[in-house]
Amino acid sequence: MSTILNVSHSIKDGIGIIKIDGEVDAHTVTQLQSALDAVSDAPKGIVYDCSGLLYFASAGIGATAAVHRKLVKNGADLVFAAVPEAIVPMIKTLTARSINMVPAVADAVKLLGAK
Amino acid sequence: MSRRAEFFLRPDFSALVELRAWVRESANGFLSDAQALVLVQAVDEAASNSIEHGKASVPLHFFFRKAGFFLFFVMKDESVPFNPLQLPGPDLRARYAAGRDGGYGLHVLRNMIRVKYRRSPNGNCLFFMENIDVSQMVHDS
Repeated sequence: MSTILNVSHSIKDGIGIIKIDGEVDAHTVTQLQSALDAVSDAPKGIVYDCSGLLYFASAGIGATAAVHRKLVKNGADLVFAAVPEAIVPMIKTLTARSINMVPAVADAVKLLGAK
Repeated sequence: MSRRAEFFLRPDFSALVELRAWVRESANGFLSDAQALVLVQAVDEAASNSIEHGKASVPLHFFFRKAGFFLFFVMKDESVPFNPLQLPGPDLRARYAAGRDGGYGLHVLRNMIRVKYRRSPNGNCLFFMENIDVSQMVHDS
């Protein structure tokens, strides 16, 4: 089976950017977790670049929750950007609308940069 | 289009992608995109749950059937008895705020699709049912 998820990460101006391309499920979530571990100390927060996201299982929500909590405690935040329209309702539902979603990565960076 | 009426999933998370592909292929032409997405996610979450908590050691058996204006998917496993519908519904907001790493998939099964549970002699059966969206129908079978 070919790779179904590619996750890359970077930190710029105190913001961690995680680009998620493909399908996050109970197997591939370890890749997301590794990226989260790598940028979880970003002082302003984390942006998920979801422009290439195809599927987001609840395992992805679980991996996100603990890091998001830590960020909020430190005055930072986690923002989902460029989520494909079809996936938006599921992510909103599973997080009980506890997350910020914006149309583009630039919007997320601006939002976190203002913190 | 040729559809496989049944699918066997080896009890390994790395095989979930194959299960989702089969569900998508089976539902194609019967459900709207939004319905198919919920169905795929519900089946994926149930299978993940069975693999993780049910200690499944033999392949999970899935099959689908069209009956009237309904599409049925069935998941059968041979693991410890577990009815996900009997558990209390999670408080998603509190769970997420607390940073909990699990329990979200249960919400999909309980609240986003019609699911029934039946204990079988060797394990568990979950029945997923969706109304066929007739505007999507391009097949006779």
